[in-house]
Amino acid sequence: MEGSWKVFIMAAAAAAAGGVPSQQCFLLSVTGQVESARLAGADQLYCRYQLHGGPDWDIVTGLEEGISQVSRPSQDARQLLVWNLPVEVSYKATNPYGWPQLIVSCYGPDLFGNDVIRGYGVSHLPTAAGAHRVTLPLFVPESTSQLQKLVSWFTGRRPELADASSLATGDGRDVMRVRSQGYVTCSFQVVTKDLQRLGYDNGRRAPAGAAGGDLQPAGGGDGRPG
Amino acid sequence: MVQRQPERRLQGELRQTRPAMKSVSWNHRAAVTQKSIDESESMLDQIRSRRGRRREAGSQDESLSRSVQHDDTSEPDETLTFRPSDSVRADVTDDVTDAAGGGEGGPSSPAGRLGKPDRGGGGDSPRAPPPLAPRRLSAAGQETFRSQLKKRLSLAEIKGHGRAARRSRAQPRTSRFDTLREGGTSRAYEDYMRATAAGRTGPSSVQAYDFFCRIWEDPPSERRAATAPATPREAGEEASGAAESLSLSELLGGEQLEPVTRHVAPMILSRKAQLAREADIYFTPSPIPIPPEERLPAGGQARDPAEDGIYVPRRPHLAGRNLHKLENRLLHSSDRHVRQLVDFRLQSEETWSWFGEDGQLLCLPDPLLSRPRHRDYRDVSEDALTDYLPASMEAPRPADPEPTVSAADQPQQLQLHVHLVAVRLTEHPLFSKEHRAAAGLEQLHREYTALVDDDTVNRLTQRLWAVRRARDGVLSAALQLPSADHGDHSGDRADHSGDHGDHTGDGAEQVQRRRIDDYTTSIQRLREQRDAAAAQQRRLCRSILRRWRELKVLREDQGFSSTPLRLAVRELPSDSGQETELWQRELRAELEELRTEHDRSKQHLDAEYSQQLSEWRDRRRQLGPDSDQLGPRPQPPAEFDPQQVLADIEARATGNRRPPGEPKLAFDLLDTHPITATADCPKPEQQRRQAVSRCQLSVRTLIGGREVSHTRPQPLSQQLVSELHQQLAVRLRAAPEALQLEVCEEGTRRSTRTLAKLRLPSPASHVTERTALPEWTAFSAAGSGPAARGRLQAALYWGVDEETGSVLAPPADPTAEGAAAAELAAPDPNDPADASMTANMPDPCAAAEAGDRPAPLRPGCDGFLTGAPDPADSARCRLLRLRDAGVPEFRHVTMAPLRDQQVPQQLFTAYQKRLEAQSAAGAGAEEAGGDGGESARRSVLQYQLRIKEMVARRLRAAQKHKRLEDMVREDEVPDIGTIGSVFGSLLSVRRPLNPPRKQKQSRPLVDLQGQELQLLCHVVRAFNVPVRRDTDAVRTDYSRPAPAAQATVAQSSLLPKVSVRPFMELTFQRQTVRSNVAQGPNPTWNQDLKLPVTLPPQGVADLHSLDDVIHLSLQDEMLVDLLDDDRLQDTNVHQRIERRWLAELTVPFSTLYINGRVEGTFRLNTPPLLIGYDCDVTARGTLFHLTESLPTGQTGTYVTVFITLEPPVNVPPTVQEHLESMETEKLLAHCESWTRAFRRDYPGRRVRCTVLDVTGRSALVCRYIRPLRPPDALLAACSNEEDQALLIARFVSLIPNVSDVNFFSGMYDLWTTCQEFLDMQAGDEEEHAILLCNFFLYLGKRAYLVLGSGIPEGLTAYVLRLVQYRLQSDPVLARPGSGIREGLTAYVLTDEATNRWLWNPCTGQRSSAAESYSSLLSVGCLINAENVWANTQVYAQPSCISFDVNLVGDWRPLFTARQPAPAEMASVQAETLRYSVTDTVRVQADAERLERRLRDHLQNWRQRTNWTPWNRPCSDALRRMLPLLERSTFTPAISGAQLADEQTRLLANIHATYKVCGVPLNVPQHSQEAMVEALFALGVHRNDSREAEFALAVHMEPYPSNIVAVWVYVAALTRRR
Repeated sequence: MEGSWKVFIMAAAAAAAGGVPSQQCFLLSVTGQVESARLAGADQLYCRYQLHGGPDWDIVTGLEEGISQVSRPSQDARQLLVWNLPVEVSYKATNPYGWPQLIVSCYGPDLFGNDVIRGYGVSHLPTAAGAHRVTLPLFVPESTSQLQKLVSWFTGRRPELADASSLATGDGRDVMRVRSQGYVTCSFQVVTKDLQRLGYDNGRRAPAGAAGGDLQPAGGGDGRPG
Repeated sequence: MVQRQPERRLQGELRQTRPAMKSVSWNHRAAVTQKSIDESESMLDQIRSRRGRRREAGSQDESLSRSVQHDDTSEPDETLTFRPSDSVRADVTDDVTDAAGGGEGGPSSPAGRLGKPDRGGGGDSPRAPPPLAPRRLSAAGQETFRSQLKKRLSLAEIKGHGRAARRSRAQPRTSRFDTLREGGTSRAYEDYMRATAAGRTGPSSVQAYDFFCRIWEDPPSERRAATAPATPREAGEEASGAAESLSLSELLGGEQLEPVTRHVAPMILSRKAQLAREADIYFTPSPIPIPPEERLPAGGQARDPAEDGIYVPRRPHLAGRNLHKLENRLLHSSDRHVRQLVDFRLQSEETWSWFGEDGQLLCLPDPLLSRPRHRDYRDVSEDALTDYLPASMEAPRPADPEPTVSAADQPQQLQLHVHLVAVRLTEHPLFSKEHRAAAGLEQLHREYTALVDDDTVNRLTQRLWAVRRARDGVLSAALQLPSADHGDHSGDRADHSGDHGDHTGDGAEQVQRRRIDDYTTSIQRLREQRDAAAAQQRRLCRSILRRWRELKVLREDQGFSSTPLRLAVRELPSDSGQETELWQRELRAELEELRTEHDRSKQHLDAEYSQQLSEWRDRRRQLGPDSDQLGPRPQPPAEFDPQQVLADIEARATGNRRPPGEPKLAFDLLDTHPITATADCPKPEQQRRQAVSRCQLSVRTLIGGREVSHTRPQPLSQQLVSELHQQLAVRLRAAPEALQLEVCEEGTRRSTRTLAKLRLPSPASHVTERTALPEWTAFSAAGSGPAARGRLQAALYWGVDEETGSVLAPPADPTAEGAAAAELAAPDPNDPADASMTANMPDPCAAAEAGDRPAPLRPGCDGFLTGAPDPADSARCRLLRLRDAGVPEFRHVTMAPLRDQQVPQQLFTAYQKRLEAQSAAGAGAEEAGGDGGESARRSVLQYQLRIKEMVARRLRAAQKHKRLEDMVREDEVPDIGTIGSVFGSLLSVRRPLNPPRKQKQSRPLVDLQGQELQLLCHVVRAFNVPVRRDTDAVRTDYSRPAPAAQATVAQSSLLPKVSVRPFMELTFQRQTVRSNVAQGPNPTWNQDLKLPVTLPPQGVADLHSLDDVIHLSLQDEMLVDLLDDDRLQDTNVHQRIERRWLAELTVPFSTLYINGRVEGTFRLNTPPLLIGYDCDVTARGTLFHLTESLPTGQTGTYVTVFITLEPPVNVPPTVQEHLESMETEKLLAHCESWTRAFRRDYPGRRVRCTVLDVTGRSALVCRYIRPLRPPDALLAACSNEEDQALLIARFVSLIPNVSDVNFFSGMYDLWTTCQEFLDMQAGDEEEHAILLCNFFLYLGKRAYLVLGSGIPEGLTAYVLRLVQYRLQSDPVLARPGSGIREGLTAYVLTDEATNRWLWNPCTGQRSSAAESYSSLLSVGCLINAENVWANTQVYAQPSCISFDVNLVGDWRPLFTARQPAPAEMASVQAETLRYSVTDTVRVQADAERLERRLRDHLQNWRQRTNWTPWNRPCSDALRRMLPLLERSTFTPAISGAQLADEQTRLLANIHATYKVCGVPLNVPQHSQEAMVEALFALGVHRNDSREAEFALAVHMEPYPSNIVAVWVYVAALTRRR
């Protein structure tokens, strides 16, 4: 009995994942960059990004994760740590629920040369087509006590998230204490397809001439402010 | 526009002349050619010389311009042209006036000139070419002009003008220029030219035209005289101007004269002169307000229309300063035009002025709304800010979705504040006479003050007069009506609410009449009101004085005073003359009104009278003059008697109002009267004062009948006032209608007496702390108590949320709000701004209007059209909802299809089926398992599912709460112990050759995301492996070893001469990996076997739900020679590898998951019979050294393995929740402290006092122990007591063992009752042990439940007869605490006279408590129905401890004499167990079905290799064998040898033709799936031989209560050659 439904689910899931016809899903294509970070006191920094989508989202092309080179702050007043780490991903989805989120985690060596976490940041990918700049505030988990803090400073094992992708869900946020760190700036160029044909309104009207497919061009003027 | 021109033009000139110089000096130079530079230089010279002249002429200029202005008001454009010019202008004026006469009648009338405004003039655009030519010059005029001017002008210039002139459409005007005197003309022209050349101040075409064509009027003679002295000087200049002009034309030399290039020096004035000039021209209004008298028409008096009830629209806001300036300008400006406008207005219509009746500047109503109309988002909750649009597929969205605030959905959060300020008594038994009098006086004074403050009398008087005035206006308009066809303005404005005078003729007349009637009625009403108010005021006045006199008398009489009240009477100044006048006026007006009223009613009365009279006369005629019924003759209506009426009015007025001359009084109530000291008072008063000082007041607050607060009692002052000053805030769910307050008097003996009750209405929803004012509310004692009256001062208001700033008030009721606002602002029904408010009022007109308004948006209205399908019905929506709810079928669905059509229906059918089954099971349970068929089995499953779901729900709720450790990885703070061990390890001796094992740090589950989880099995060695008995020879006698067979093997040199070639195979989730082949019965592999773990669909988090089983099977690899031809033996090798299943170890994945690893030497599950193999160790005598330590009589195959997960995973801890309990708090606390103390003393020993049942309630473990009657069938089966016990143990062990983790998919440790256990047919060791213990208790044995730790019984979940065997020699096991994590287990101890047995409830096997190799490693506690005993002995191994619980030193009981057990300890178990009857027929059918199914599976597995022939005779023989095997499990009499013999006998025929390789499997009926998996793990199907035949037999031994022992015998047969 139990086994039978399990088999069913597997089969259904496989059918659903593989066999969604192209007319029955919408596409979200995002190209962009994790451009730079402003993080006081960071001498060297590299970042990891990962994308986290809901159950009805599937990556068509592109990488779900990426890691950047180590960057040093710019030699001016801005002290920017520039990576320009490209993010290119195309999703197909049947449900806007679980709209993908970008999770950025920054690491850098501390005083003793240990690689420690410097900040986590999370943001939804923009929903509207066009060019967007998003600034993610960064934060790190706080030590549970002052002693812990001291010890972790010495040992170079600062508290870090067991799983960064848990940031994409709301679970367990209430038990965490975090400290703000800095900002990461990302830019996105977003193209969506078939969103409106399937009845979703993401704030953009289809051009009058476009019947059926509403391929929305990038670089629109209505980019959300970051 | 025209009228303003002079001023503007002058400004323009003044402004522009100054910068002109600069631009000439450098700016222009850069831009033009050399020629033009020269030109401009010459011009500069010209300008310089000109400037000198202008200075001289300046003073004259001004005076002249003024005179011109005054004279020529009718022709403003003249001034316009010449006034701004320079000195020449005076002469021009002089000169041209000679010709003024002719201009008047011509076509160029003033109107025509006025019609051409001066656009080009004034230098609006400096670069624009100046308007040049006079347009209306005739040819003759041109000629004359030329002849006059040719000496002075260059030819080119004249040409230019001539061209322009030719273009013009002008009519000829003769003899204009003849009249111009030469000098004057030339000067005027020069002036004109200069202006032209400047390029900025050129005259307009009109000016130019006027200059040439105008017939100038004769100036007055005195003007001429005034200007005459200037003439000689001007004449002198004339020549030089002409010379310049000529030289300029010569300089230019060319044909054209470009006026642009000529510049004129700006007019520079000293600042003082400039200011003087400006002061003359400009009017600077003063910002000082004008007194109102000036603003009103002479003798007028300001009256406020608003006071008269007339709608006054809101005035736009204007800063006072600006307003005053504007008023000043309007009234005082000397500016002719403004003045004119004012005068015009004043003259044309008397009633019209800039100012209204109230003396305010008239203005339109403020067009701005007082409130912003945009939605205030502060009140909107956060989530409402995002504009939520419900998903719609086909239906179009509503045109304008309005975000709705769903305030109604949220539970109201109200916070009512009550501020109790003071209580003041006005009547009380403690009041003295004086107090009473004072209170009366106070009351009167309060009323009086209220009246005076309100100024009711005055207000009504004012209003009365206003209405009178309005009526008069209408009356006067009515008189004019026949002649005038326009509405009366004053009347209209006075009565704004009325119609706007659109009516004409009769309609208008009617309206007028109606209006007059209205006014008359309202005057009458107002008069009465005024009289009533005045009378009351007068009455109060008198009463106050009288009462004050009484009070004074009283004080004198009693000789002391106890109240500080004193009345001060002031006389207010009054102007008696004015008063008399007013008085008279009032009387007259009233008289007139009465007369009018009388007149009006007279007609009616007359008519009535005449009718009555005629009736009377008729009656008299009929009845006769002397009849009694005739009645009196009707009296004619009284005539109006002015004298009489006036006298009446006067009398009434004198009675009601203060007649003129009477002093005007004002009363002040002071608290300055000295109070006599208590000592000086007489005794009764002293007592009274004491009583007062003892008295205390408090206030109780009740909301909805419930007391919410009782203030602290506050002492009563001697003035009978109690200052409370207490605040109270109440959080409410719903707004109370009213608040009940009770004023209580606290007596001396702590007795509280309610003085009075009062109700305060709930405050309006907008009232907050800032707006609330404490108000006095009067109360009076109700009921039989002593009379007490008083007033309570309290403020009620709603709290404000500090975070959001929103008022925690109930949503405002629109009607209530309207009413409240109506009270607040006294809305004007005529004011359009109040329309919303008035709309809410019950008004028929408003109701009619409401029909036009759009219906408000329904709150529940979403984007779906009514025709569209309900979204809840759509399959997709259902799918998403079920997924969200975590229904197992849908929990792992990804890419949920967008359209309903694509949602796979199978998903729902499966789910539906389950639901149906569940409901059917619910119904079936009520039938109490009637038919006992398939439905019984199903109902068991459904019951399980129900329990599972219930627990899972609870668990999910608990798991939502993540802990910090789940989220954040952080090093633990090292404590002293760890630091010490770190240093200790540094100091310790290094022994590189004895490496200790390092514990791997396990990681939380979530951390495994994206990594592959692997099952790692390290197979070390096995020993005592069965060896082949029957090798490859054709044999007839199987019972003895055959030397011939060995010879056969020896024939083939390739086949090693070994007895067995064993290997280990790991099977998990249908994946298989095997080790190398080792040789002999004691193989050593030392090999890692790895298999990937296919995670459940939800990922690692769901790992605990994985119910797969790890099969580790020991198999024998056989090489079978396939060569048919013996001759090829020497040259060819043709062999097939066959495998023979020998033994198996099964470990449920949950066991591995919980324990982290399974490690040790385990006895493999060997079947009771192995065809062709010899399991008898002693028979062989070639044992490995390890086996020597085996106790005698122990047989079996052992394997040493280490199984773990790679990477290691963290096990979520057991959910510890403090749930409700059936025990008392005291008992629970005792249990906890007892447990804690024991755990502290003996860590690692298992002890439980309270456990959770399936409903989540905790109960004492003792409640689970209760003698229960085993099934009768079992009792009847054996007569022998020992056999009975064994049979019962067998019965209990047959109930499937499912770990709680697996079953409840979580870390709950739940104990089910025996009945639940039997119904569910699943449970872990504890349930088995309890049931067994209870059965034994029934049998009269002394049985205890033993909790302890051992090698987890989870290992035996599917294979019954596995016995964990602990080897003394194993170094890991021998050292306590060396790292093996023992599973928690439960045993049953029976304490009999002969022996103490430890029963393993999951295997049904017993061992002596004294035996040293029990798989129970440590005993934690013993439990029976009365008590719990914790093991406090040094050792925990059962073989080392004493089981006498009475020994205080060895066992620590939970309940002692000091802490006795609860008096009645009701058992959670039912008194008797219900056993359903097992249907043997059904079991038989089930067996057949299972057999069929297993066959099908086997065939399927073999499908890719071969077809599967079934050997039926063999199957039958095996089937006959199985019942015997079952019986042997609980009958010690049947030995292994007997079984073997029996089998040999049964299979004798088959052995003759086939080699048989078979295994009997015994599995408690858990599920057929498990059976299939077990069969797969056997690997019998992997026989690739073409000739292989198979035999399969299933036997189900029915036990009571649907418990079935399942036996499967499977064999592969190979035909002998």
